[in-house]
Amino acid sequence: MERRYAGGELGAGQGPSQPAPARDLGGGVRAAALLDLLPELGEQLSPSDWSRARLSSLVQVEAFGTGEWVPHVARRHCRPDTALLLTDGVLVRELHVAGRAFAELLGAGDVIYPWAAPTSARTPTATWRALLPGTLAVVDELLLARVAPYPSVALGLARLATLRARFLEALAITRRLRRVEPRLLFVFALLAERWGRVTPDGVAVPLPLGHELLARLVGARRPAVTTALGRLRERGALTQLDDGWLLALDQIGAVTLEPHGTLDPT
Amino acid sequence: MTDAPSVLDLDPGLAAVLPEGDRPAARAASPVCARPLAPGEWDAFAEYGGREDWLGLLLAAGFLSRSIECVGETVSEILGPSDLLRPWDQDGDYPVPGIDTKWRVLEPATIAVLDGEFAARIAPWPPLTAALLARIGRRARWSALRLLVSQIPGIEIRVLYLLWHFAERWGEPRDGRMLIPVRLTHQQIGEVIGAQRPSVSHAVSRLREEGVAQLPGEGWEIPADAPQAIDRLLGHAFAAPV
Repeated sequence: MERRYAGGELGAGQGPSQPAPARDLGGGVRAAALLDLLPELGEQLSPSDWSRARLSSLVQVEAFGTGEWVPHVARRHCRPDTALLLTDGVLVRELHVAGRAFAELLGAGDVIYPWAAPTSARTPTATWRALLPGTLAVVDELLLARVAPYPSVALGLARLATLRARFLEALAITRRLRRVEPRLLFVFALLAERWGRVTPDGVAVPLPLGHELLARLVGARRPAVTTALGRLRERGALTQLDDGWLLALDQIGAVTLEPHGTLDPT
Repeated sequence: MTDAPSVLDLDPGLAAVLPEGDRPAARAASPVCARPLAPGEWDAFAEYGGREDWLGLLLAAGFLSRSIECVGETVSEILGPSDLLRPWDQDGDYPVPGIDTKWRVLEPATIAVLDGEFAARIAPWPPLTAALLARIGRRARWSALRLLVSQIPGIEIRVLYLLWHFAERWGEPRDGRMLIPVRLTHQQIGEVIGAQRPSVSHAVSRLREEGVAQLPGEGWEIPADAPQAIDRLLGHAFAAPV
């Protein structure tokens, strides 16, 4: 049974003493150990299991640059249940309908299914682009077969997949805030939790988010976002940097959201 | 031998990902604890918090809602058969204070407990693990779509779009129509599509012309040709100032 599903092309059968090679497979694709790319997936393993699981966790990895993104790796792995695990960089997934757009940001640890069947016959097709260059790893049945002796790896993948849904659920809250300023602060608090770096001046969020993209994240029009950003800048709450944004520290820990979208820094 | 049901019998969609010849062995290896849930509030996090070493809770039957309450507003997600829940990952603290998460059983439900031991037992059948992981991905995509729908101008199209999506996933064909077997209130629909209850009630009354009906004690019914109505309403929405 296991032999049927076991993959052989990426290092299966190597002895545990042999280091897992990260090697070029051509066409912009390389092989690497998933546990090296995302060490948190191996946190529950004993040291001896970790070494073996690392060897078993070889995956195909593809790099992408900024701009429109097409899942090249996918052309050879297009089963609906084949996932791509973002190991570095930032992707934007956008949906458009009736002149409206919604954008989702995806970063390291997010799991995507670009070839899954649409959730509905009336589901708009998603478009993708890379905001920051990065890498993607193929999570398919071959990988799951190789790591089958280490179920905590699959459990770690389930946790990562859930966090994407959790982020989206949090974004839904912004839609119930009437004013754009608290929507923006709320979203930046979420982004800071994920991508933020604490500096003496505040939390730096190193994402090149333009006003249009922010509007699609928070569900507002771009002019309204531009106006709100101006007000937040005047208050010292949010500042645009060359390579991202700076969120004042007191806007994360001490913000109280109140009914009807008012915001009360306490 | 055990009397516990196999997850393949509780969720035939999982059996379908395996070659027929593999199913008997996979079925024997995949008994699960199936737990009934009665309608009403359900404190999923209290009961199943801290289960990071579990694969999840598979909703085998019935319907649940997961609601996030914040600033006096509520946003909800409806979960139905074949959805996979992980309350221990979903319901933790958010970076902004004042956010509360609540679960509610909308229709009598059955959850299958997919614990760490279960994950190990099904590991020899990677398509099963892949299918369960994909269930989580599907929830994320639906959440993204729901966010988009909540931005469409016009509550009618939002309501119809939502009901059609539910019909595609969980609908039961009946006399050329689709029955959605969950008794969603106007308030709950509003919490899903980002609208106030009175607006939903107004939209529902207008959608009667499109054949949408709320059936007391049963759920909702929509015509099988609802997609055409969606396209027509979307056309109107598209023509509106955006």
